[in-house]
Amino acid sequence: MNRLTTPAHRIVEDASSAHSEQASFSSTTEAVQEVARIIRERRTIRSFAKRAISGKELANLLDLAAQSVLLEHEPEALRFIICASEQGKRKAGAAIMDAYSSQGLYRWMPGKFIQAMAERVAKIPAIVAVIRRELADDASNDRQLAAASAIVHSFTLLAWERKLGLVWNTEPIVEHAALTTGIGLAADERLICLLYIGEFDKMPKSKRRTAAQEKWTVLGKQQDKEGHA
Amino acid sequence: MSLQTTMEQIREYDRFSARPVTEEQVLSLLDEAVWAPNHHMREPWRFIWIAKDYRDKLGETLAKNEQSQLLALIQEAAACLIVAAPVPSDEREAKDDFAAACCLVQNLQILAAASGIGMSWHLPMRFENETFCSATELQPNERFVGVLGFGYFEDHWTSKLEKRSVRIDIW
Repeated sequence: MNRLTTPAHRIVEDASSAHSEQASFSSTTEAVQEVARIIRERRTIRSFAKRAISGKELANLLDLAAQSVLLEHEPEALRFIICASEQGKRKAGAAIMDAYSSQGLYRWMPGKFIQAMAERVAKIPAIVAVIRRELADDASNDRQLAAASAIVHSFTLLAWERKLGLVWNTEPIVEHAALTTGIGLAADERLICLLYIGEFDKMPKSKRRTAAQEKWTVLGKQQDKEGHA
Repeated sequence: MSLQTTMEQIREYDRFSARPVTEEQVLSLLDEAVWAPNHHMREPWRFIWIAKDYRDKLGETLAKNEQSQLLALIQEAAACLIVAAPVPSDEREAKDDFAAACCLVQNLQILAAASGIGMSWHLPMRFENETFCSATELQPNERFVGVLGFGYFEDHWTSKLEKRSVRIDIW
């Protein structure tokens, strides 16, 4: 096993400058740069502008995102509920608040706190529930989780290109019966996460990332560095 | 070219392409892919590059009939990379870390497509083949996120992707 010898914990603050000299390998550099820009710009957005979002538009993005994931899985055992209308959001919001107010910590919160939280949830422009049907074995279920995560990420990037931001909610409430029955899940369906989506006014700052080479191991003899076709 | 156009070009690796995909190229794409969302900046991923002269050894750990696609990838793909994620003891953290590493793999899929490169994504489970895990030096507190094969799309080659229909309800 060889490890590439670069100083440990070297952090690249702006890898675009660090790697610009390597970006010349392909005639499709422009496409890579555009994709890389969106990947790099994307942030978790927790606070949204008031503007409404079209459920149909989100459905189109989700559909394209689902096409972009090549990991073998069972697409028909995944389901998404997009809540974008006032009525739909009220239904989802009520189920979310039921789960919070009957669960652990939040049971002891004063009514005022719960009320404030309910108002925040009601203001989210769109909520998407990401659902998988439980399959027979652990391996299949893990692959469904992996595929769902990849679909959600593709969707996140497509949404970002349209100035829409989101946050994944994977808090324990996603497993709470008050929520899952509240949004009408079948007995063999599991809520993977909730997405809160909206236009963003402010973009949070970026944090630094560790260069890939710091987490790189080579098995076998390193390949020759030729091959720039 | 928009992200949407790139996404529509996503393909598996071309097994007939002779053009090499180098370690430097994959590293350079990975440096963009690491901008995946992850909780508390744990950056829960590690990369294992399978060099050409290690492919046969790794392939020998796979059964020909049961894991034929994975075996073909390891033997034939122009480049082969394994992405592993840590498995923290906290179950929710473990789920979040796995999801984050899957986002990184999907970033790589999109970035590869933008470079004219196809990528196949396999996800073997530890319990399915311990010998394979040992050969990849997967650590006891880690899991696979993907065994990835890369190769250029060639002009003559057009893959037909089956339409994956997920159910979408709009409320």
